[in-house]
Amino acid sequence: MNAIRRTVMEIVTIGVIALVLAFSANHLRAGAAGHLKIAKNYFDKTIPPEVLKDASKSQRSDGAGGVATQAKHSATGESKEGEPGHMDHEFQDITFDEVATLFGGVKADENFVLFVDARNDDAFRAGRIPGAVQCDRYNLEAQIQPVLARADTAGKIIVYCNGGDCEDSIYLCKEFLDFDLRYDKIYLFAGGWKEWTKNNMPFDKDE
Amino acid sequence: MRGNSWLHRLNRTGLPLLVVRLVVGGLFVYMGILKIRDPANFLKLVRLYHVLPESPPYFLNTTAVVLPWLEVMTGLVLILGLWRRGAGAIAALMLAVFTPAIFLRTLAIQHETGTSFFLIKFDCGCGSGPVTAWLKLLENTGLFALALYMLFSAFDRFGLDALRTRRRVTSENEGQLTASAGDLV
Repeated sequence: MNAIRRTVMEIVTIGVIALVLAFSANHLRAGAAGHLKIAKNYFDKTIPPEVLKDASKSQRSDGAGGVATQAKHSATGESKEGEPGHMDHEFQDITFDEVATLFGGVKADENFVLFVDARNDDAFRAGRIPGAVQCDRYNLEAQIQPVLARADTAGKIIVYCNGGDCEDSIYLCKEFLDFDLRYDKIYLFAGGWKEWTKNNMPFDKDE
Repeated sequence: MRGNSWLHRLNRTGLPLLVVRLVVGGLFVYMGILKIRDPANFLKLVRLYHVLPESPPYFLNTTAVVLPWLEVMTGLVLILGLWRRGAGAIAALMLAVFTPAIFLRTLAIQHETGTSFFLIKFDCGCGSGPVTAWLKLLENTGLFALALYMLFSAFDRFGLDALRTRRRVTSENEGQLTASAGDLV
């Protein structure tokens, strides 16, 4: 009985020390990569209805030039609906061909298109669409400013991550709405980095 | 392991427990550090198991923050030989939860993709990136057995626990000797 009590005490001690270390380390990382906000739902991609309503109003007033698609998308069709990893979302999709065309025109007006890379530091440093701005949603406070600074002048904000079943770009689009970026400017390039490199497109990387 | 078999004699030396402690402890520390380096990635991988609710987010986020530190802490005390039974129990408990979860996820992937069970490879969130599922299950089963051995073994000769016990026994013996000497006088 004594041995059981002692073992339980040991379990509790180890658990409490781990808990204190974990929360202290997480607190010390605040504002930097690797910090998680305990109260934040990182997997909420629900768009407020009023945003969708405003977007459809602006589409009507703009005529054909407004929002491209507002229906629910299944961008890749690689996984099933209802499963984490599926790509259902309510943002405007943009295909690789459209992205490539816009990329070709970037040289003429580099402020018109803003590419936003939603991947983490390692992936971004290893290779990215030329001119892309990094915005890792797990380090949003530190990385959102360059996006906000260019969001007003940009006509299209194209957000991408790895492609395939990567969902970071979808959640980042949702975060952008929370920062009052206009829904009709935000485009999701679901093919992402995989599709970009598969098509032998140019890329930048840190040496 | 009763009697005087060579296995029993070897066990009594405390060396097998020392080796197991160092191996399992080292592995836990290593895997834990890999997860601590990228908690966001660990959070995404934990979520894919469907074990914890996404809303409210406290459970998922707290797990992603705390679990790697619990692993590191467990590994460290195992290496030091401190609170060995408690650490063994935590290791066994973690493996008892992770292993069935990995098994069920492998079955789900098999069901979804039609891939043979033995060919399925995915990132289980264990810290070392994509792994062959059946090999990971085998590894975890072995680790679980070792964790139980650490929990129940009676032959702890090395490490801080053993040192504390020796000191206590020595001071008790000294106390008894002093008392006996007092009786004699």
